[in-house]
Amino acid sequence: MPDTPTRSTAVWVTVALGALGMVGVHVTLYLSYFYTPTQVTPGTLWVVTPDSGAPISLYESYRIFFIHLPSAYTTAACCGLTALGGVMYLLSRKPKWELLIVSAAETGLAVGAMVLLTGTLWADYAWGSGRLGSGWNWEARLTTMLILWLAFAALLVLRRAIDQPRQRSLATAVYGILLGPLYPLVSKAVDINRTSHPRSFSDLLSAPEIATTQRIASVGVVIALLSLVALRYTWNSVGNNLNTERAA
Amino acid sequence: MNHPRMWMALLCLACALCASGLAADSKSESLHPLNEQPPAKTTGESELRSQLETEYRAQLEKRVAQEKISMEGSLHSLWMSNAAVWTVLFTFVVLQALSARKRSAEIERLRRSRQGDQA
Repeated sequence: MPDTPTRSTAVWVTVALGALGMVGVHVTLYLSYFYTPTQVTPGTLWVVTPDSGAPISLYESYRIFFIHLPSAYTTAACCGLTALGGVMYLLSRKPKWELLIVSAAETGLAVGAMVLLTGTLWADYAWGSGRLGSGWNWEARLTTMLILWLAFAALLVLRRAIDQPRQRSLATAVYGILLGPLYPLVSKAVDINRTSHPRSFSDLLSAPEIATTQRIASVGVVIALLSLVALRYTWNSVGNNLNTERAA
Repeated sequence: MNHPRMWMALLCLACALCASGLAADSKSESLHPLNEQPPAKTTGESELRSQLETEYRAQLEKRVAQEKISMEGSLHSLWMSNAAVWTVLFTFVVLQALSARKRSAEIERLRRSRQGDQA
């Protein structure tokens, strides 16, 4: 990869996003523990037991959504960033766009794991037997999310397998573009057939405390997690400069 | 984040984080079984009923108060543990970014000195 300039702007973006994210996450956590009520009304969220179809009371368990949903939004943003980076790289051939694809894929892998883990842990109690892993039922939403997570991992493995820098950059850009449409597929997967996964959160969000907390979480936690993209971008950029300097 | 003291600080925070679980749902907050005593015999049934109701209400209120303290204690512990996790993570992010800036400046300095040598 050709040399990239010192990314002073990227550093300050990372620091600012990290600091803002820290505040956002703490406010979200505080509100989710001490402000939002216990959700006891059955059927206010479209969650049912797979066998009988009886609505489930979520009690305290719904509070995991304040981390789970923003993590899913960030995974979607990472998908979008890989596609954007891919298109921009093919148009301009500037290494910064390749850095963006890699950084977004690395973060997508980490945050996607958070989505899968928080979702599965919640589902173990929501529609599973309570035993670890019992909530995983290979429904369309869960399976497509796992495929997306594996696709992020595959991009990073693919890069390592190509020695020639130009080929590696091109393959990364094309793969990044192909990753883009995967999130809409995950999003629409709940409409494919009957599913245990909630289709809509509108009923749950009709409680004003929950809606407010969810709005704050959507901004605060997403900013926090996007600071990881900025961090990886900065770090990869410095790594490239270092390699160039060593090779000189 | 090359400075060893930074790593030590993060390590200490991580240790504090691990230890924070010790504060969760402490024994003193746990509920104890009700220490029920059979009511003293009274002559009138209505008096007995009233006395039992008063005792029951008093014990119930005490138990609800205990449960509230226990619930608030466990929520507080969870909030503290989670806040510690995220604080460590984002302190790490900010320190890594600052370290990257330092490393970039060092690379630029090396590059300039090499170009100066060549000239």
